[in-house]
This record gives sequence, structure tokens and C-alpha cells, in this order.
Amino acid sequence: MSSVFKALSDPTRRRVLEILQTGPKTAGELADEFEFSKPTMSAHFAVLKEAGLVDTRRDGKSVIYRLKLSVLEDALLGFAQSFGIGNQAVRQGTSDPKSKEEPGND
Amino acid sequence: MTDMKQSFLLPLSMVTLVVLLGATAWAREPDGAIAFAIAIFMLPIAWSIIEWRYRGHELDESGREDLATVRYSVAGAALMLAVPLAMTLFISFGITATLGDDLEKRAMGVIFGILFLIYGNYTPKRAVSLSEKGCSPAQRQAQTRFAGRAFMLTGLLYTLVWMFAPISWALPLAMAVLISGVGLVMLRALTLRNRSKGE
Repeated sequence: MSSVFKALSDPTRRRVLEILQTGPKTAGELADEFEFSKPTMSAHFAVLKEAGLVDTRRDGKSVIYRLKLSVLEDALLGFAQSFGIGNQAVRQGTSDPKSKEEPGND
Repeated sequence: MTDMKQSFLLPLSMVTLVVLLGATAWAREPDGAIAFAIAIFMLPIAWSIIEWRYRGHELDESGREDLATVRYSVAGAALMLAVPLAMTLFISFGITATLGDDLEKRAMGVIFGILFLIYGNYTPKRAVSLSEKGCSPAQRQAQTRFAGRAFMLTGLLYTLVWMFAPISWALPLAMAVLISGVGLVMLRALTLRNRSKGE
């Protein structure tokens, strides 16, 4: 459960989930929505996958991401989004999933 | 392949359990023969038709995911039948006799409502198939999310009805809640299917 909270505490990852709410997307389509580098996005995707909130399927050369949110996790996402949890960490530049400081711990 | 095997074995074991529970309940309570007969035969027949329709088709990954989703739904439906059948047997064997008639009914209703609520919560947890058959993956995902919310709300209302409504009103009210919730999900699915056919 803590991995779910960790995944939802970052606004970038929440944005990824929001995009996936409109339907499955390729990794490229998702990355196009952000200005981050590919490794940063991959790290965000890895956190989401580890928390069991997304699922991947290889389709030829592309990787397709699919949403795996229970109703409660969906509500938690909406709650975190409404209260802007972790937004300050982004402004301070500590939301990189590879950074030592845990995102959202501001 | 492992997922396909698991997706077959899980509904198989659940349906077998329903048949066994239904047959035992039928033997113990011959008055409820029609209800128990429906419980026993409905799922095996429906599932056989589904498997027969998929038989002989060379399935790609999306097709296998579709079939696995249907099989898991059969397992879910079997669980929904197994729990009230098991509770009927508990009552029939006098295990819950100390609770008294009203409390016994309320307990059954609350347990079923909570089960429905949990089932609804996990309904959208399974990733949707990427198959374009019937509707787009995005539409399928939207339908699954809608179903999850509707089932969860139905389970919650069903539980509350059995907890707080007067006992003489509880059954018709709970049935109205259940039929409305499931009917709404089915109606949306049919609308989606017809719209996709028209496109």
C-alpha cells in the first residue's frame, strides 16, 4: 500500500495516470506529454508499475501502458490531485524519481 | 500461457463449488428447487457457450486477454452465487440459529453487500484487453471503470439497506438496488456495443 501512496504522491505520475484514464497509450505517446528526459520518465513509469497501478504490454517495437486502478485507488488519485500533494516538491525540483529525497516529502 | 491456464482453472473450481453448494441446498430445501436449479445450471451453460464460441479460433494476445477477462468474470459471478448458497446452507444446518430470523437475514444481506462492494472495487484493477473487437480499448476501459463504481455503490447501498431498513422492506429495497445497479451497467455496455456496431 505504501508503494501506492508513493506513486500517487508525485504530480508527474498522477498526470500519467490521468492521461491513461482516457485509454491505453504507448510509452512514446505518454513521454510526448512531458518535457522530462526519457530516463526520468522511465523511472516514473517503473514506480507506477511497481505499485501495480499500470500494466505494460509489448506490441511490436512499442510498449503500451494500461491503467490498473481500483475504484479506491482512483478516488485516492482524485484526492491527491485535488489537494496538490507533492506539487511543492516539483517546484523545488525534488520530484525526480531517481533523486535521493523521496518525492512528496516536503 | 500460465495466465490462460489459471484463467480456466479459477472459474472451473468456482463453478464446481457453486454446483456442489447448489445441489446440497436443493437436497436440503426442496421448496427452493427452481432457484437452486437456476444457480446450478446457469453458469455452466453460459460458460460452455462462451468457450464454444472461442473454440477453434487461433487467438492472438488480445484475443487471449479477452477470453481470460470473460473467464475471470465467470469466476466473479460464481463467487456471487457461492456466497449466498453457502449462507443458505449455514441457515439450513442451523449454524446461525442463535442469531434469530431477522438478524440472520440481515447478516446474509450485509455479507453479500460487502462482497459486491469489494468486487466493484477490484473490477477496474484488471488491465483491459487491447483488442478492437466490439469496441475500442479506451471505450472498454471507460466501461470497466463505470462498472466498478456502479458495483461499489450498489454494494454500499445494498449493505446499508440490510443494516437499517425495516426488515419487511429490506428484501424488496435491496433487490431494487441490485437490479438498478447491475441493469445500469448492462444498459451502458449494450449502448456501447450498439454504438460501436453502428460506427
